[in-house]
Amino acid sequence: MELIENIKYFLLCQKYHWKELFVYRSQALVWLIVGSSILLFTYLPVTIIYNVSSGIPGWTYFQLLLLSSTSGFVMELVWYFVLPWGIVNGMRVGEFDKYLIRPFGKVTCMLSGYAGNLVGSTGVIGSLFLIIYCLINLNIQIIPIVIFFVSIIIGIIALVMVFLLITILSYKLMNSANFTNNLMNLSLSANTYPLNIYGSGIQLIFTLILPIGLAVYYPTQVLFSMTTPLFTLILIFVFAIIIIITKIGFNKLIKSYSSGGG
Amino acid sequence: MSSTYLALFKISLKDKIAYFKDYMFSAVGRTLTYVLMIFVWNIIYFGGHFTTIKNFNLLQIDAYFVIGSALFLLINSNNDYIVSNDMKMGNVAKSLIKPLSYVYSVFIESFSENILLLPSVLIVIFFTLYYTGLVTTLFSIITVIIIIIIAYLIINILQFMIGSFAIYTSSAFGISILFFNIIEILGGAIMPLTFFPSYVNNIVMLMPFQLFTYVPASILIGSIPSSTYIYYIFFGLFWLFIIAFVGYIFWNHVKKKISSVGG
Repeated sequence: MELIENIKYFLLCQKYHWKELFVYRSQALVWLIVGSSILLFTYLPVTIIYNVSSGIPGWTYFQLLLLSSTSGFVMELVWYFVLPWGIVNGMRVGEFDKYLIRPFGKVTCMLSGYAGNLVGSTGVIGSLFLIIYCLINLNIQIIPIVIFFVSIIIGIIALVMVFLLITILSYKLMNSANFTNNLMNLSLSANTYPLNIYGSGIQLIFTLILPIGLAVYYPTQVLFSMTTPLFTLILIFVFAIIIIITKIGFNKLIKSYSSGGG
Repeated sequence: MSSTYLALFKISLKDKIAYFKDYMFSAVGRTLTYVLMIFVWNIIYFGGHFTTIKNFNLLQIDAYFVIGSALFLLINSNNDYIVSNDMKMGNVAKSLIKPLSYVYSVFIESFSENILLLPSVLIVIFFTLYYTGLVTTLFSIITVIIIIIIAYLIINILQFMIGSFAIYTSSAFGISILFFNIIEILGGAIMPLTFFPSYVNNIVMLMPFQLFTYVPASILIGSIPSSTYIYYIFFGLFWLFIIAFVGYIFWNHVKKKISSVGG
Protein backbone atom coordinates (compact mmCIF):
# COMPACT_ATOMS: atom_id res chain seq x y z
CA MET A 1 0.00 0.00 0.00
CA GLU A 2 2.82 2.34 0.97
CA LEU A 3 4.61 1.49 -2.27
CA ILE A 4 1.52 2.34 -4.33
CA GLU A 5 1.18 5.70 -2.55
CA ASN A 6 4.84 6.43 -3.30
CA ILE A 7 4.43 5.52 -6.97
CA LYS A 8 1.27 7.64 -7.25
CA TYR A 9 3.02 10.63 -5.74
CA PHE A 10 6.05 10.12 -7.99
CA LEU A 11 3.91 9.95 -11.14
CA LEU A 12 1.97 13.06 -10.16
CA CYS A 13 5.22 14.99 -9.72
CA GLN A 14 6.43 13.73 -13.10
CA LYS A 15 3.31 15.14 -14.75
CA TYR A 16 4.16 18.60 -13.43
CA HIS A 17 7.84 18.32 -14.40
CA TRP A 18 6.82 17.50 -17.97
CA LYS A 19 4.43 20.42 -18.10
CA GLU A 20 7.18 22.65 -16.75
CA LEU A 21 9.50 21.79 -19.66
CA PHE A 22 6.96 22.83 -22.27
CA VAL A 23 6.27 26.23 -20.70
CA TYR A 24 9.23 27.58 -22.70
CA ARG A 25 8.57 25.97 -26.07
CA SER A 26 11.66 27.16 -27.98
CA GLN A 27 13.87 25.98 -25.12
CA ALA A 28 12.03 22.63 -24.98
CA LEU A 29 12.63 22.15 -28.71
CA VAL A 30 16.36 22.79 -28.27
CA TRP A 31 16.49 20.35 -25.38
CA LEU A 32 14.77 17.62 -27.38
CA ILE A 33 17.29 18.10 -30.20
CA VAL A 34 20.10 17.96 -27.63
CA GLY A 35 18.68 14.68 -26.33
CA SER A 36 18.73 13.13 -29.79
CA SER A 37 22.40 14.05 -30.28
CA ILE A 38 23.33 10.96 -28.25
CA LEU A 39 22.45 8.95 -31.34
CA LEU A 40 25.37 10.59 -33.15
CA PHE A 41 27.72 9.43 -30.39
CA THR A 42 26.52 5.85 -30.66
CA TYR A 43 25.90 5.48 -34.39
CA LEU A 44 28.74 7.57 -35.82
CA PRO A 45 31.84 6.09 -34.11
CA VAL A 46 30.67 2.50 -34.62
CA THR A 47 29.88 3.09 -38.29
CA ILE A 48 33.19 4.88 -38.91
CA ILE A 49 35.16 2.14 -37.12
CA TYR A 50 33.66 -0.53 -39.39
CA ASN A 51 34.14 1.74 -42.40
CA VAL A 52 37.89 2.15 -41.96
CA SER A 53 38.77 -1.21 -40.36
CA SER A 54 37.54 -4.72 -39.71
CA GLY A 55 36.19 -3.52 -36.35
CA ILE A 56 36.50 -5.02 -32.89
CA PRO A 57 37.46 -8.71 -33.08
CA GLY A 58 34.56 -11.02 -32.19
CA TRP A 59 31.95 -8.33 -32.72
CA THR A 60 30.03 -7.72 -35.91
CA TYR A 61 28.86 -4.24 -36.90
CA PHE A 62 25.28 -4.84 -35.74
CA GLN A 63 26.38 -6.44 -32.48
CA LEU A 64 28.53 -3.41 -31.62
CA LEU A 65 25.82 -1.00 -32.74
CA LEU A 66 23.37 -2.84 -30.50
CA LEU A 67 25.76 -2.56 -27.55
CA SER A 68 26.36 1.17 -28.05
CA SER A 69 22.64 1.85 -28.58
CA THR A 70 21.87 -0.05 -25.38
CA SER A 71 24.45 2.06 -23.58
CA GLY A 72 22.79 5.24 -24.89
CA PHE A 73 19.31 3.94 -24.01
CA VAL A 74 20.30 2.99 -20.45
CA MET A 75 22.22 6.18 -19.71
CA GLU A 76 19.51 8.46 -21.09
CA LEU A 77 17.01 6.71 -18.80
CA VAL A 78 19.38 7.07 -15.85
CA TRP A 79 19.71 10.80 -16.70
CA TYR A 80 15.92 10.99 -16.59
CA PHE A 81 15.89 9.89 -12.95
CA VAL A 82 19.17 11.35 -11.72
CA LEU A 83 19.96 14.95 -12.54
CA PRO A 84 23.02 15.71 -10.36
CA TRP A 85 23.05 19.47 -11.06
CA GLY A 86 19.43 19.83 -10.01
CA ILE A 87 19.86 17.72 -6.86
CA VAL A 88 23.06 19.46 -5.70
CA ASN A 89 21.65 22.88 -6.45
CA GLY A 90 18.53 22.00 -4.46
CA MET A 91 20.72 20.88 -1.55
CA ARG A 92 22.87 24.01 -1.70
CA VAL A 93 19.98 26.44 -1.44
CA GLY A 94 17.95 24.33 0.98
CA GLU A 95 15.18 23.62 -1.53
CA PHE A 96 15.65 19.87 -1.07
CA ASP A 97 14.55 20.12 2.58
CA LYS A 98 10.94 20.76 1.60
CA TYR A 99 10.82 17.41 -0.21
CA LEU A 100 12.24 15.51 2.77
CA ILE A 101 9.44 16.50 5.12
CA ARG A 102 6.81 14.94 2.85
CA PRO A 103 5.22 11.68 4.08
CA PHE A 104 6.93 9.42 1.52
CA GLY A 105 10.12 7.37 1.31
CA LYS A 106 13.36 9.35 1.04
CA VAL A 107 14.24 7.95 -2.38
CA THR A 108 10.73 8.80 -3.60
CA CYS A 109 11.11 12.32 -2.20
CA MET A 110 14.36 12.84 -4.08
CA LEU A 111 13.11 11.30 -7.32
CA SER A 112 9.85 13.23 -7.16
CA GLY A 113 11.67 16.51 -6.72
CA TYR A 114 14.36 16.07 -9.31
CA ALA A 115 13.55 13.20 -11.69
CA GLY A 116 11.65 14.01 -14.84
CA ASN A 117 14.45 15.16 -17.09
CA LEU A 118 12.56 14.84 -20.37
CA VAL A 119 15.54 16.10 -22.36
CA GLY A 120 16.76 12.60 -23.06
CA SER A 121 13.37 11.34 -24.25
CA THR A 122 14.36 11.77 -27.91
CA GLY A 123 17.59 9.92 -27.16
CA VAL A 124 15.69 7.09 -25.45
CA ILE A 125 13.24 6.71 -28.35
CA GLY A 126 16.00 6.98 -30.97
CA SER A 127 18.18 4.44 -29.14
CA LEU A 128 15.23 2.07 -28.83
CA PHE A 129 14.68 2.27 -32.60
CA LEU A 130 18.36 1.52 -33.17
CA ILE A 131 18.16 -1.47 -30.78
CA ILE A 132 15.11 -2.84 -32.62
CA TYR A 133 16.82 -2.26 -35.98
CA CYS A 134 19.87 -4.23 -34.78
CA LEU A 135 17.74 -7.00 -33.26
CA ILE A 136 15.95 -7.47 -36.59
CA ASN A 137 19.25 -7.57 -38.47
CA LEU A 138 20.76 -10.02 -35.99
CA ASN A 139 17.69 -12.27 -36.19
CA ILE A 140 17.57 -13.00 -32.44
CA GLN A 141 14.95 -15.26 -30.78
CA ILE A 142 12.20 -13.79 -28.58
CA ILE A 143 13.23 -15.36 -25.21
CA PRO A 144 16.76 -13.84 -25.15
CA ILE A 145 15.17 -10.50 -26.11
CA VAL A 146 12.77 -10.68 -23.13
CA ILE A 147 15.64 -11.58 -20.76
CA PHE A 148 17.68 -8.74 -22.28
CA PHE A 149 15.02 -6.09 -21.61
CA VAL A 150 14.23 -7.42 -18.10
CA SER A 151 17.95 -7.32 -17.26
CA ILE A 152 18.42 -3.76 -18.46
CA ILE A 153 15.32 -2.53 -16.58
CA ILE A 154 16.59 -4.02 -13.30
CA GLY A 155 20.04 -2.69 -14.20
CA ILE A 156 18.65 0.83 -14.61
CA ILE A 157 17.09 0.65 -11.11
CA ALA A 158 20.48 -0.37 -9.66
CA LEU A 159 22.27 2.37 -11.60
CA VAL A 160 19.81 5.05 -10.48
CA MET A 161 20.42 4.07 -6.86
CA VAL A 162 24.20 4.09 -7.33
CA PHE A 163 24.27 7.51 -8.99
CA LEU A 164 21.89 8.98 -6.40
CA LEU A 165 24.29 7.79 -3.73
CA ILE A 166 27.31 9.25 -5.57
CA THR A 167 25.49 12.57 -6.07
CA ILE A 168 24.88 12.97 -2.33
CA LEU A 169 28.42 11.85 -1.57
CA SER A 170 29.91 14.36 -4.01
CA TYR A 171 27.72 17.10 -2.46
CA LYS A 172 29.07 16.21 0.98
CA LEU A 173 32.70 15.98 -0.12
CA MET A 174 32.92 18.65 -2.83
CA ASN A 175 29.69 20.61 -2.64
CA SER A 176 29.40 20.07 -6.38
CA ALA A 177 27.66 17.94 -9.00
CA ASN A 178 30.36 18.07 -11.67
CA PHE A 179 32.03 14.90 -10.42
CA THR A 180 28.84 12.82 -10.76
CA ASN A 181 28.07 14.32 -14.15
CA ASN A 182 31.49 13.41 -15.46
CA LEU A 183 31.25 9.95 -13.97
CA MET A 184 27.94 9.42 -15.76
CA ASN A 185 29.40 10.64 -19.06
CA LEU A 186 32.45 8.44 -18.57
CA SER A 187 30.23 5.41 -17.87
CA LEU A 188 28.28 6.06 -21.07
CA SER A 189 31.44 6.41 -23.18
CA ALA A 190 33.11 3.35 -21.70
CA ASN A 191 30.07 1.13 -22.19
CA THR A 192 29.68 2.07 -25.83
CA TYR A 193 32.31 -0.63 -26.44
CA PRO A 194 32.70 -4.18 -25.07
CA LEU A 195 34.03 -4.06 -21.50
CA ASN A 196 36.58 -6.83 -22.06
CA ILE A 197 38.72 -4.57 -24.27
CA TYR A 198 39.69 -2.41 -21.27
CA GLY A 199 41.34 -5.17 -19.26
CA SER A 200 40.15 -6.86 -16.09
CA GLY A 201 40.69 -3.88 -13.72
CA ILE A 202 38.48 -1.44 -15.62
CA GLN A 203 36.00 -4.22 -16.39
CA LEU A 204 35.67 -4.87 -12.66
CA ILE A 205 35.11 -1.16 -11.92
CA PHE A 206 32.30 -0.95 -14.49
CA THR A 207 30.81 -4.18 -13.19
CA LEU A 208 30.77 -3.76 -9.42
CA ILE A 209 31.62 -0.14 -8.48
CA LEU A 210 29.87 1.69 -11.32
CA PRO A 211 27.65 -1.20 -12.40
CA ILE A 212 26.66 0.13 -15.82
CA GLY A 213 28.30 -2.98 -17.31
CA LEU A 214 25.66 -5.06 -15.53
CA ALA A 215 22.95 -3.06 -17.27
CA VAL A 216 24.54 -2.89 -20.72
CA TYR A 217 27.41 -5.25 -21.49
CA TYR A 218 26.22 -8.42 -19.75
CA PRO A 219 22.61 -8.28 -21.00
CA THR A 220 23.93 -8.03 -24.58
CA GLN A 221 26.10 -11.07 -23.85
CA VAL A 222 22.89 -12.92 -22.94
CA LEU A 223 21.43 -11.79 -26.25
CA PHE A 224 24.33 -13.18 -28.27
CA SER A 225 24.27 -16.47 -26.31
CA MET A 226 27.76 -15.76 -24.97
CA THR A 227 26.60 -16.70 -21.44
CA THR A 228 24.48 -19.37 -19.74
CA PRO A 229 20.98 -18.97 -18.17
CA LEU A 230 22.64 -19.43 -14.75
CA PHE A 231 24.66 -16.31 -15.44
CA THR A 232 21.42 -14.34 -15.90
CA LEU A 233 20.25 -15.50 -12.47
CA ILE A 234 23.57 -14.44 -10.94
CA LEU A 235 23.20 -11.08 -12.73
CA ILE A 236 19.77 -10.46 -11.18
CA PHE A 237 21.09 -11.53 -7.77
CA VAL A 238 23.99 -9.03 -8.05
CA PHE A 239 21.51 -6.29 -9.04
CA ALA A 240 19.43 -7.05 -5.95
CA ILE A 241 22.49 -6.82 -3.69
CA ILE A 242 23.55 -3.50 -5.27
CA ILE A 243 20.05 -2.05 -4.81
CA ILE A 244 19.95 -3.10 -1.12
CA ILE A 245 23.47 -1.80 -0.34
CA THR A 246 22.91 1.54 -2.08
CA LYS A 247 19.51 1.98 -0.39
CA ILE A 248 21.14 1.51 3.04
CA GLY A 249 23.99 3.90 2.09
CA PHE A 250 21.51 6.44 0.72
CA ASN A 251 19.44 6.47 3.93
CA LYS A 252 22.57 6.81 6.08
CA LEU A 253 23.88 9.75 4.01
CA ILE A 254 20.52 11.51 3.95
CA LYS A 255 20.35 11.33 7.76
CA SER A 256 23.61 13.28 8.05
CA TYR A 257 22.66 15.75 5.31
CA SER A 258 22.47 19.45 6.03
CA SER A 259 21.64 21.98 3.33
CA GLY A 260 23.90 24.82 2.28
CA GLY A 261 21.04 27.19 2.91
CA GLY A 262 21.07 26.52 6.66
CA MET B 1 42.12 50.39 -16.91
CA SER B 2 44.38 47.39 -17.50
CA SER B 3 45.06 47.18 -13.74
CA THR B 4 41.29 46.83 -13.20
CA TYR B 5 41.17 43.83 -15.54
CA LEU B 6 44.27 42.39 -13.88
CA ALA B 7 42.57 42.68 -10.50
CA LEU B 8 39.49 41.00 -11.99
CA PHE B 9 41.67 38.18 -13.31
CA LYS B 10 43.28 37.70 -9.88
CA ILE B 11 39.86 37.54 -8.18
CA SER B 12 38.56 35.04 -10.75
CA LEU B 13 41.67 32.92 -10.36
CA LYS B 14 41.32 32.84 -6.56
CA ASP B 15 37.68 31.90 -6.97
CA LYS B 16 38.59 28.99 -9.26
CA ILE B 17 41.38 27.83 -6.92
CA ALA B 18 38.79 27.60 -4.14
CA TYR B 19 37.05 24.87 -6.18
CA PHE B 20 40.31 23.38 -7.49
CA LYS B 21 39.61 19.83 -6.29
CA ASP B 22 36.23 19.73 -8.00
CA TYR B 23 37.64 21.36 -11.10
CA MET B 24 40.51 18.90 -11.47
CA PHE B 25 38.20 15.92 -10.93
CA SER B 26 36.00 17.23 -13.71
CA ALA B 27 38.96 17.80 -16.00
CA VAL B 28 40.29 14.29 -15.42
CA GLY B 29 36.81 12.80 -15.93
CA ARG B 30 36.32 14.62 -19.21
CA THR B 31 39.77 13.67 -20.48
CA LEU B 32 39.28 10.01 -19.57
CA THR B 33 36.20 9.90 -21.79
CA TYR B 34 38.42 10.47 -24.83
CA VAL B 35 41.40 8.51 -23.54
CA LEU B 36 39.21 5.37 -23.35
CA MET B 37 39.27 5.44 -27.15
CA ILE B 38 42.91 4.32 -26.95
CA PHE B 39 41.75 0.90 -25.74
CA VAL B 40 39.25 0.68 -28.58
CA TRP B 41 41.78 1.54 -31.28
CA ASN B 42 44.49 -0.68 -29.81
CA ILE B 43 42.13 -3.65 -30.15
CA ILE B 44 41.20 -2.60 -33.70
CA TYR B 45 44.85 -2.25 -34.79
CA PHE B 46 45.99 -5.48 -33.14
CA GLY B 47 42.89 -7.47 -34.08
CA GLY B 48 42.99 -6.43 -37.73
CA HIS B 49 46.82 -6.49 -37.94
CA PHE B 50 46.83 -2.92 -39.23
CA THR B 51 50.04 -0.89 -39.29
CA THR B 52 48.31 2.31 -40.41
CA ILE B 53 44.72 3.43 -40.83
CA LYS B 54 44.22 6.60 -42.87
CA ASN B 55 47.83 7.72 -42.28
CA PHE B 56 47.72 7.10 -38.51
CA ASN B 57 49.86 4.37 -37.01
CA LEU B 58 49.05 2.98 -33.57
CA LEU B 59 51.48 5.25 -31.68
CA GLN B 60 50.10 8.28 -33.46
CA ILE B 61 46.49 7.35 -32.75
CA ASP B 62 47.27 6.82 -29.05
CA ALA B 63 49.08 10.17 -28.87
CA TYR B 64 46.28 11.81 -30.85
CA PHE B 65 43.63 10.96 -28.26
CA VAL B 66 45.74 12.01 -25.27
CA ILE B 67 47.04 15.27 -26.78
CA GLY B 68 43.75 16.04 -28.54
CA SER B 69 41.69 15.63 -25.38
CA ALA B 70 44.13 17.77 -23.36
CA LEU B 71 44.05 20.57 -25.95
CA PHE B 72 40.28 20.38 -26.31
CA LEU B 73 39.94 20.70 -22.55
CA LEU B 74 42.35 23.64 -22.49
CA ILE B 75 40.61 25.78 -25.10
CA ASN B 76 37.06 25.11 -23.93
CA SER B 77 35.58 28.04 -22.07
CA ASN B 78 32.41 28.42 -20.05
CA ASN B 79 31.48 31.81 -21.51
CA ASP B 80 28.14 30.43 -22.61
CA TYR B 81 27.14 29.48 -19.05
CA ILE B 82 28.38 32.78 -17.60
CA VAL B 83 26.53 34.92 -20.16
CA SER B 84 23.39 32.79 -20.12
CA ASN B 85 23.24 32.92 -16.34
CA ASP B 86 23.88 36.67 -16.29
CA MET B 87 21.07 37.17 -18.79
CA LYS B 88 18.71 35.10 -16.68
CA MET B 89 19.55 36.92 -13.45
CA GLY B 90 19.54 40.36 -15.05
CA ASN B 91 23.24 40.88 -14.30
CA VAL B 92 24.12 41.94 -17.85
CA ALA B 93 22.12 45.16 -17.66
CA LYS B 94 23.86 45.99 -14.36
CA SER B 95 27.27 45.21 -15.86
CA LEU B 96 26.66 47.43 -18.86
CA ILE B 97 26.56 50.56 -16.71
CA LYS B 98 29.82 49.68 -14.92
CA PRO B 99 33.09 51.29 -16.15
CA LEU B 100 34.20 47.85 -17.36
CA SER B 101 33.57 46.10 -20.63
CA TYR B 102 31.15 43.22 -19.96
CA VAL B 103 32.64 41.25 -22.85
CA TYR B 104 36.20 41.54 -21.50
CA SER B 105 35.17 40.71 -17.94
CA VAL B 106 33.47 37.49 -19.12
CA PHE B 107 36.52 36.55 -21.18
CA ILE B 108 38.81 37.18 -18.20
CA GLU B 109 36.65 35.07 -15.93
CA SER B 110 36.76 32.05 -18.23
CA PHE B 111 40.45 32.65 -19.04
CA SER B 112 41.30 32.25 -15.35
CA GLU B 113 39.81 28.73 -15.54
CA ASN B 114 41.81 27.82 -18.65
CA ILE B 115 45.07 29.13 -17.24
CA LEU B 116 44.68 26.82 -14.24
CA LEU B 117 44.70 23.86 -16.61
CA LEU B 118 47.69 24.99 -18.66
CA PRO B 119 50.48 23.40 -16.54
CA SER B 120 48.75 19.98 -16.49
CA VAL B 121 48.07 20.13 -20.23
CA LEU B 122 51.72 20.96 -21.00
CA ILE B 123 52.92 18.10 -18.78
CA VAL B 124 50.50 15.66 -20.47
CA ILE B 125 51.65 16.72 -23.97
CA PHE B 126 55.33 16.58 -23.05
CA PHE B 127 55.09 13.11 -21.50
CA THR B 128 52.97 11.75 -24.35
CA LEU B 129 55.49 12.89 -26.96
CA TYR B 130 58.39 11.62 -24.85
CA TYR B 131 56.76 8.25 -24.14
CA THR B 132 55.67 7.61 -27.73
CA GLY B 133 58.98 8.87 -29.14
CA LEU B 134 57.15 10.95 -31.75
CA VAL B 135 59.46 13.69 -33.01
CA THR B 136 58.09 17.20 -33.16
CA THR B 137 59.92 20.27 -34.48
CA LEU B 138 60.16 23.81 -33.11
CA PHE B 139 58.23 24.98 -36.17
CA SER B 140 55.41 22.55 -35.28
CA ILE B 141 55.31 23.76 -31.68
CA ILE B 142 55.19 27.43 -32.70
CA THR B 143 52.45 26.67 -35.26
CA VAL B 144 50.42 24.78 -32.65
CA ILE B 145 50.73 27.68 -30.16
CA ILE B 146 49.46 30.14 -32.80
CA ILE B 147 46.63 27.80 -33.84
CA ILE B 148 45.61 27.18 -30.22
CA ILE B 149 45.42 30.95 -29.56
CA ILE B 150 43.27 31.43 -32.68
CA ALA B 151 41.09 28.43 -31.77
CA TYR B 152 40.74 29.72 -28.21
CA LEU B 153 39.51 33.10 -29.45
CA ILE B 154 37.10 31.50 -31.94
CA ILE B 155 35.58 29.16 -29.38
CA ASN B 156 35.28 31.96 -26.82
CA ILE B 157 33.47 34.25 -29.23
CA LEU B 158 31.15 31.44 -30.37
CA GLN B 159 30.34 30.46 -26.79
CA PHE B 160 29.74 34.08 -25.86
CA MET B 161 27.26 34.33 -28.74
CA ILE B 162 25.58 31.11 -27.66
CA GLY B 163 25.23 32.42 -24.12
CA SER B 164 23.63 35.57 -25.53
CA PHE B 165 20.92 33.43 -27.11
CA ALA B 166 19.40 33.30 -23.64
CA ILE B 167 17.75 36.60 -24.53
CA TYR B 168 15.51 34.64 -26.93
CA THR B 169 15.20 31.27 -25.24
CA SER B 170 15.42 32.37 -21.53
CA SER B 171 18.27 29.88 -21.06
CA ALA B 172 21.06 28.90 -23.45
CA PHE B 173 21.99 25.77 -21.53
CA GLY B 174 20.51 23.43 -24.16
CA ILE B 175 22.16 25.21 -27.09
CA SER B 176 25.46 25.14 -25.18
CA ILE B 177 25.35 21.37 -24.83
CA LEU B 178 24.33 20.98 -28.47
CA PHE B 179 27.23 23.20 -29.54
CA PHE B 180 29.65 21.23 -27.35
CA ASN B 181 28.46 17.95 -28.91
CA ILE B 182 28.89 19.38 -32.41
CA ILE B 183 32.42 20.64 -31.85
CA GLU B 184 33.35 17.39 -30.14
CA ILE B 185 32.46 15.48 -33.32
CA LEU B 186 33.40 18.02 -36.00
CA GLY B 187 36.53 19.12 -34.15
CA GLY B 188 37.94 15.60 -34.14
CA ALA B 189 37.81 14.94 -30.38
CA ILE B 190 36.07 11.58 -30.76
CA MET B 191 37.92 10.52 -33.91
CA PRO B 192 40.50 11.98 -36.35
CA LEU B 193 38.61 13.79 -39.11
CA THR B 194 40.35 11.81 -41.88
CA PHE B 195 38.46 8.72 -40.64
CA PHE B 196 35.17 10.27 -41.75
CA PRO B 197 33.84 9.32 -45.21
CA SER B 198 35.43 11.57 -47.85
CA TYR B 199 32.22 13.51 -48.64
CA VAL B 200 31.78 14.39 -44.94
CA ASN B 201 35.49 15.10 -44.54
CA ASN B 202 35.46 17.55 -47.47
CA ILE B 203 32.74 19.61 -45.78
CA VAL B 204 34.22 19.39 -42.26
CA MET B 205 37.59 20.58 -43.55
CA LEU B 206 36.00 23.88 -44.59
CA MET B 207 34.80 24.58 -41.04
CA PRO B 208 36.82 26.19 -38.24
CA PHE B 209 36.05 23.37 -35.75
CA GLN B 210 39.01 21.30 -36.99
CA LEU B 211 41.30 23.88 -35.33
CA PHE B 212 39.98 22.90 -31.89
CA THR B 213 41.46 19.40 -31.77
CA TYR B 214 42.27 17.73 -35.08
CA VAL B 215 44.76 20.24 -36.55
CA PRO B 216 46.88 21.00 -33.44
CA ALA B 217 46.99 17.36 -32.29
CA SER B 218 47.83 16.10 -35.80
CA ILE B 219 50.61 18.69 -36.18
CA LEU B 220 52.20 17.63 -32.88
CA ILE B 221 52.17 13.93 -33.79
CA GLY B 222 53.42 14.63 -37.30
CA SER B 223 50.47 13.39 -39.33
CA ILE B 224 50.04 16.71 -41.13
CA PRO B 225 52.84 17.84 -43.51
CA SER B 226 54.72 20.99 -42.40
CA SER B 227 54.09 22.58 -45.82
CA THR B 228 50.43 23.12 -44.80
CA TYR B 229 51.11 24.81 -41.44
CA ILE B 230 50.96 28.36 -42.86
CA TYR B 231 47.71 27.49 -44.64
CA TYR B 232 46.12 26.45 -41.33
CA ILE B 233 47.25 29.67 -39.62
CA PHE B 234 45.69 31.84 -42.35
CA PHE B 235 42.63 29.58 -42.45
CA GLY B 236 42.21 30.18 -38.69
CA LEU B 237 42.74 33.93 -39.00
CA PHE B 238 40.14 34.07 -41.77
CA TRP B 239 37.55 32.32 -39.60
CA LEU B 240 38.51 34.38 -36.54
CA PHE B 241 37.89 37.58 -38.49
CA ILE B 242 34.49 36.36 -39.75
CA ILE B 243 33.33 35.07 -36.36
CA ALA B 244 34.55 38.18 -34.50
CA PHE B 245 32.69 40.39 -37.00
CA VAL B 246 29.45 38.40 -36.72
CA GLY B 247 29.87 38.29 -32.93
CA TYR B 248 30.30 42.05 -32.75
CA ILE B 249 27.11 42.69 -34.75
CA PHE B 250 25.18 40.07 -32.81
CA TRP B 251 26.24 41.43 -29.40
CA ASN B 252 25.27 44.99 -30.37
CA HIS B 253 21.86 43.67 -31.38
CA VAL B 254 21.50 41.71 -28.11
CA LYS B 255 22.55 44.74 -26.03
CA LYS B 256 19.65 46.74 -27.46
CA LYS B 257 17.25 43.91 -26.62
CA ILE B 258 18.49 43.80 -23.02
CA SER B 259 17.73 47.46 -22.44
CA SER B 260 14.37 47.14 -24.18
CA VAL B 261 13.17 44.38 -21.82
CA GLY B 262 14.49 46.12 -18.74
CA GLY B 263 17.40 43.80 -17.86
